[in-house]
Amino acid sequence: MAYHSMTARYKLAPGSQVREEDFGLLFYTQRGPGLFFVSSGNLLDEDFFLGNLTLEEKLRQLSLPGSLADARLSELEKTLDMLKNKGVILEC
Amino acid sequence: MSANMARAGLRAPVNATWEITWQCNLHCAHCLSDAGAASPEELSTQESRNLILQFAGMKVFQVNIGGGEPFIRKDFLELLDFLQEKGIVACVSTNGMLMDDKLAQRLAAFNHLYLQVSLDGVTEEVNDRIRGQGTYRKILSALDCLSRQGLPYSINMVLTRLNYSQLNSFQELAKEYKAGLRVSRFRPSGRGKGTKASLGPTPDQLEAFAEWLAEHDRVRTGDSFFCLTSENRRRKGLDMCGATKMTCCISPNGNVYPCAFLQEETFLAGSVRDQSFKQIWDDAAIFRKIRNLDVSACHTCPRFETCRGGCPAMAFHTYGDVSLPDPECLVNLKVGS
Repeated sequence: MAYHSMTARYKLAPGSQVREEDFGLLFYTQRGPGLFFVSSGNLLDEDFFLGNLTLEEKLRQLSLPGSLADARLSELEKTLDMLKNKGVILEC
Repeated sequence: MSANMARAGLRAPVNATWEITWQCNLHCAHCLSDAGAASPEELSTQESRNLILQFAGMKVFQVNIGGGEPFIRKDFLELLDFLQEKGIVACVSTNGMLMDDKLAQRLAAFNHLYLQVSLDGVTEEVNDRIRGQGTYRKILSALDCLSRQGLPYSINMVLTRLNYSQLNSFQELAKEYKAGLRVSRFRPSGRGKGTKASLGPTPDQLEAFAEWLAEHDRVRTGDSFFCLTSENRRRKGLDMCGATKMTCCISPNGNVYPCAFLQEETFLAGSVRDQSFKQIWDDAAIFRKIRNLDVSACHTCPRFETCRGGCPAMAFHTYGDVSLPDPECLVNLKVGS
């Protein structure tokens, strides 16, 4: 499957909320209601879901060592795709 | 994975149970709060608004409001408005006695509101034995009002030995009203302490209910039956008690407890009149204790990963010790029978 999350921007879907936790991000959606635990560490924050930055821009901003960025990138892309498919976030 | 993340405790509750008043216009036989008369100790409107601000500041996603009967509070709609303004989802448990078309129409305007209407029998005889004479007809009238407005709501039943045989009829009734069905667990707290022996489901009924639940995927339980749930259903919910990790309870006077069924002096974590809600959530000694609770007697149980000892409140109300196993988990039910 080809991911395009690197260049996409995201925002929360209606009825979704997100907050930062020690492990990363915790998403809540009124549908269900449901919870999604995302172990993103400090790579993503709540503001990422205001839709101002792409994942690529966000990671560049963090100035991560290349190897770490590569290792986490694929995981984050999959997670964002999953959240999108579940209707928790929207591409904008 | 998610359970491991939650087990250590979150920065804030996912949902907070808020018993907003002790006042109630009914006197149900199993009421967990022993509700009835109002108390001058209850949080004022301003104190309640301040608590909502604290919820919003901590990003509490959802507040589950019960009592007592929430709609008795004169300022209740104002408080719901404030929750809505702050983007907090409210789930209100009501007995339906004050519901009419005007109120249902007002509630239909909310975006972030779920209602649960309590009904404890699909026949007048069974319901009214638990909730009081004349309540069955009034509850159905409330359901009519809500359905006419297209409000999302669930019918909430507490499983008892009287209504156990009506489970399928409950489901049909909910379908008829286009409502969800939620089944809650009978716990011997509040007035339930005195009525557990006569109303609590029997071990055989609980075992059969576990099988019924496995076959009825859409029925909700608020995770109160996680110690009875099948492997399939487990994936949809919690595999542990969420008290102090994902939820807690605020009583009408602002006292904070691990859950609604542990509103006892021993479990008092603090009062929002004396401390911030965040301080209590982060630092209360009793919360740390419950977060680290280890029901060691269950370690060798094949279902340990499924329920981790079950409901501490059930253990407390049965044995006086939260660190003992839930007496009504699937394994203990079989041992007992």
